[in-house]
Amino acid sequence: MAPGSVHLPTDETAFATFLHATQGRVLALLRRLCASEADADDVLQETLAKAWRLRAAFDARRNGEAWLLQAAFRCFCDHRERRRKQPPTIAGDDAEAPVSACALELRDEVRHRLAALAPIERDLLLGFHVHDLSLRDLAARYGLPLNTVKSHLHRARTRLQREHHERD
Amino acid sequence: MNETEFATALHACLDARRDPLDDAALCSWLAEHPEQLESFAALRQRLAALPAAAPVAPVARARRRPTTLQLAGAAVLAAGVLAVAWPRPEPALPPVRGILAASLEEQRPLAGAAVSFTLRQGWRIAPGAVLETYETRSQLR
Repeated sequence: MAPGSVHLPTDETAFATFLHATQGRVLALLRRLCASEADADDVLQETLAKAWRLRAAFDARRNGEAWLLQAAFRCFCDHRERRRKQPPTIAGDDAEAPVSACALELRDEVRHRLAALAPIERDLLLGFHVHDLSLRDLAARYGLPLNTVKSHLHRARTRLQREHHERD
Repeated sequence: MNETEFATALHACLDARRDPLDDAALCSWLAEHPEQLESFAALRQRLAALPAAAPVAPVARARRRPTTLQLAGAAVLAAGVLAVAWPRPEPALPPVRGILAASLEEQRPLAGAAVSFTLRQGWRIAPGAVLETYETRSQLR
């Protein structure tokens, strides 16, 4: 769903109510972008604090949710940049973590989407992103021109990206 | 950059195995188009989840160690097969009850108290084989 046409309220109470109502959507975005739920929570706090600081300067005619998502994305990029500059830790992001219910739900959703792809699209998508085969290897293996492999792959990614309610 | 150009650049970035978030132009466009953020984040997350969601290639089942019962069954079966297939010796001919031929020779010495007899008998012991026996007896006159 595209960010709704919710306009930002100007008074503090209404603004706080707006943040409270919108933070779930922002958190969902950040959980998709961040490496961990803890990171997503951190970036959400930064985003809400930044939004609160900038509330007076905000143009109330703008789309409030889009503005907040934009602020969240910028906070995420800053957070990512800071993380990159930190020295790697032994038990960092790459440490094995228990599989959460959200991860299982995501896995099932992706499986469902994979099953809905055309066989050639599914094979190319898995060959490239899971088995690390190059585009040229895939072209040779399936006897397809390189550009055809790219087209199939792009179509497969687009279908993987679309929400259930979206049609081809 | 319009939406189509963004999509082209995004796929080119993925084709090159680069993270789109490392591309300044893509990040800048996304920041200016927050309505595309959720769709982009969904794609990135689902691509990252592909290894976990990929169907596992069928793996040959590990061979189980045979149980004692299975071993015993196999032994019985092998014994049965051997018993059926083992070359058997020719069945022994039943003992010959009849005498094929017999002759009696009487010896009467002129001076002697006894008479001697020699009995010769022929026995078939196998196809084409005959056993001859000789028996000598003496009897008082």
